Amino acid sequence: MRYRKWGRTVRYENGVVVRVEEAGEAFEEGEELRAQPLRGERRALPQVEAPTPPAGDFERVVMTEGVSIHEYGGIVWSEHARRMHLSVARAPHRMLIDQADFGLDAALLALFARIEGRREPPPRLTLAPRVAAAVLPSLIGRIELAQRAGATPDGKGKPVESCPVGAGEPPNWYRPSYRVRPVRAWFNLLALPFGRLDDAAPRAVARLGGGDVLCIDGGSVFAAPLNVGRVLAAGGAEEWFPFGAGAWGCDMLLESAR
Amino acid sequence: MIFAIAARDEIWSGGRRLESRLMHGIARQDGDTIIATDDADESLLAACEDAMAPARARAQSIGARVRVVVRATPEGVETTFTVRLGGVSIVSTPEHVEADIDLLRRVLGQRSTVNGELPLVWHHGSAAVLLHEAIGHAAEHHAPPVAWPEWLRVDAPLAPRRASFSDVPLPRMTHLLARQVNAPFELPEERVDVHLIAGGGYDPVTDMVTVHVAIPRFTIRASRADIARSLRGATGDPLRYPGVICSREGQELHVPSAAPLMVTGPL
Repeated sequence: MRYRKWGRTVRYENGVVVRVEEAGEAFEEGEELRAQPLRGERRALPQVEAPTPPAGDFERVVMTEGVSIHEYGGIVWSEHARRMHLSVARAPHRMLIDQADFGLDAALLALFARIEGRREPPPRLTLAPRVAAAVLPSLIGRIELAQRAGATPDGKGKPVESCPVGAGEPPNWYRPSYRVRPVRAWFNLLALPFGRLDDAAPRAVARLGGGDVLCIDGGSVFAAPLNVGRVLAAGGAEEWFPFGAGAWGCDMLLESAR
Repeated sequence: MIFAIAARDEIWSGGRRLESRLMHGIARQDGDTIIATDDADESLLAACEDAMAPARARAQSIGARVRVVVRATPEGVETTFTVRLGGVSIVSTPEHVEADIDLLRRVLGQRSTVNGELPLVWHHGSAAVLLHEAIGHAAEHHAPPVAWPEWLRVDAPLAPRRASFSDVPLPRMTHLLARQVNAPFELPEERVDVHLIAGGGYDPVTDMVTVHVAIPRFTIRASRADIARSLRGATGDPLRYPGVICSREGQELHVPSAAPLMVTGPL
């Protein structure tokens, strides 16, 4: 079966704007994957404007906006995506922000500027949605998770439907590029709400390098290792994040593993 | 400024091809804007496919998992083989792949001791990887100077390089050649022998270097200053190290690397 993709992206990367237009096709025959540029046939794609970079002192800024048309097994669909990756350095710490929009959380930058050092992980910790989304795949089999229906099909043209995440293999295929062999993956992962959140617990508001998280406890702002122990509660899904085939972030209360 | 490339990337395992990818494109840069399309430069495409034919035959004949990549750019054609055996990889070129696979098979049988309190002896040019991280990458990030031993000479020129037509060119090492001039050398009786490296990194925020040693398996994490202080000596001419595929900002590039037999203190 042949998969074809036509894409146009504009990427702002550390001061350079890159406009890319390409089309490609991939074949899976037996155990072999073959991928190559699609020569000759072009599809009309919407124009994409270059993103405006945020003001500030960043170690790395990558902002991408892309439109694409996909075709597999007679099914045709289109996608429009935004991604922003920011890395903010404050030696020896580095804050990592990955999200699906270009909105900059200035409060988060202000908190990071106040970081006081590194501490042992608090015994109980509430993860903010952008942190919880990043750890969701590691919680498969530990808490109740579900796949939420998506607006576009998977990498093989099959609808992404809501279903519980079980022990079996995911029903959908993730294909981030035509050059990459599609793999089964859970799409739009979310934690099913349970338990009781604790507003008084220290809160991990962002991911830092080296597996640490940026924590707030009262007036203190510090780095701590994220050692995910028992998950005590999960709130409702709040925001979608571009980790793997997608994950919905929520407030999540957990114990730090010893 | 115009950049063009044609590249083919294949993965073989036990003589069977698992993946084959063709990539080609042209990037035109005007100031801070790059317009990139997947248009083919037909002469580069032909050069790429010409070089891939014998490389493919070679990859098919190797009884291991092999990734073979041919990159044709106006600067030339580059072919690399990444051969994985026993969970350890080497990166080689057509003229050296036989010898490098022999080396890999030989050192896979080594059962060196790991002891964090013993000096390290860096064989087969593997010290080039330590210096790649501590000197080469540090230079890419304009890190402050560190006092290296006077006997050490490192040539690691930077040039704008990119992996693909859709990538932003970055200042990257074209190669790393480490030499010694009248260096002291004494082979410690009690030592850890470093044969092959799995990977490494340099963090400009912490100024720390990480090197994952593959044979024997352990990880070094030290500041550049500590690494510079640890260098005890070296002997002989530079030895070509089989394998540095360097990744930065997701862009993988081959960096030919060589260093003499070198001794460091415990790291």
